[in-house]
Amino acid sequence: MNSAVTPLSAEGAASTAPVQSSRLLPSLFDQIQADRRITVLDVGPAVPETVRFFSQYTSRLHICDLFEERLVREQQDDFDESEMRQAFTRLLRLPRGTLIDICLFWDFPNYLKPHSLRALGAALKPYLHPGTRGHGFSVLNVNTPLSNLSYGIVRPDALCSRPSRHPQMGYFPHTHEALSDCLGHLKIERGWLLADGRLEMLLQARL
Amino acid sequence: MFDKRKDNSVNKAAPTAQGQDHPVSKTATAAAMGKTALIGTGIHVNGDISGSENLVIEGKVEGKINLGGSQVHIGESGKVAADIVAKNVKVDGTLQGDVDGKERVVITKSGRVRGNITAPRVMLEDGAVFKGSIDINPGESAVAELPLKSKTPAAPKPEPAAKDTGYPAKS
Repeated sequence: MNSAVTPLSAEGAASTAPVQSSRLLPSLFDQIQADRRITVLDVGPAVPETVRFFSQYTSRLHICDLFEERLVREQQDDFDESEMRQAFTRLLRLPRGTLIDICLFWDFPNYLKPHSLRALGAALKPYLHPGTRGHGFSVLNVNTPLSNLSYGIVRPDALCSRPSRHPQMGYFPHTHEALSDCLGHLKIERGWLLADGRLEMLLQARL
Repeated sequence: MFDKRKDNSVNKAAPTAQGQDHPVSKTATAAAMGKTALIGTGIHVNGDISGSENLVIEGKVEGKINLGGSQVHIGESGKVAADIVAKNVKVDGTLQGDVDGKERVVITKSGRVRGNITAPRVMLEDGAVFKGSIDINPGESAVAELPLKSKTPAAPKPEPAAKDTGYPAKS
């Protein structure tokens, strides 16, 4: 990923967030029809760039910022998988019948223990359809450190990142097999190794 | 209870609180004339607010706010637990509730919103805190750049110093 452009922020001023080109992000939009509303789940915090990007389209963004939840930060060991699934379902606050077209995980899976990751996958299942795609980051090597960043979409082929407003959480990197197994019906379709050792992932629903 | 920011003498009726009716004939163009009512920092409104003036909230409001053709501005000290219907909504303070913005909703860097927003245009500033859903229908004025199905996907920009792992693959 390289710094490529200086996008406009929500208010029209230049964004200060570094921008990176993305190889896999365009694939998120391959199956989206131009004449229907796009439903997006963003598990990260609301960032100006993502809201501005989807403001150009008839869309519904569900922004749940799971990064700030005490459940994730402090209580993963207090609940079993079933309890975590119920808790995630509550935190996602998705209306019944919602079908997600695009799921933006960013690097969130790396902060979940395996049982929590399985619980998140199970909580998402009712909201997936065969065309659901996801995007996220993992690491090729579990010893690769992860920066504490928040991400946003600037263009169909570019992301921005800025330091997270939340403290860094416990880090539980998963192998790709484990990640794919735990996320249940979202499978890793493609991966792109980045220079810093992270792996950009494109996920596809397999129902 | 309400202070007037402009032209106090013309319009005595402010957006009503606690179920009082608003004299529509006197105020139908109030918002267009730029009249603004203020709920000050020491005021706590528990009830519904409706009318046709712009409203600035620096105090606390619980209930519903329906100012369909006007602007609602929640100031930095404002704390609102209410569903809001207005032409434009700007949040510098705290809001818990749903927003139906007829034109535009802005959450500034000091704004904290938990609820669902429906509006043609929604803007967040860096630092704004928002949780909930945003329903956007920008109309035909929007400039689309998505590589949607009927279009050719945009070519990726500069080559990252990276390689395709050729998924699915084992680590």
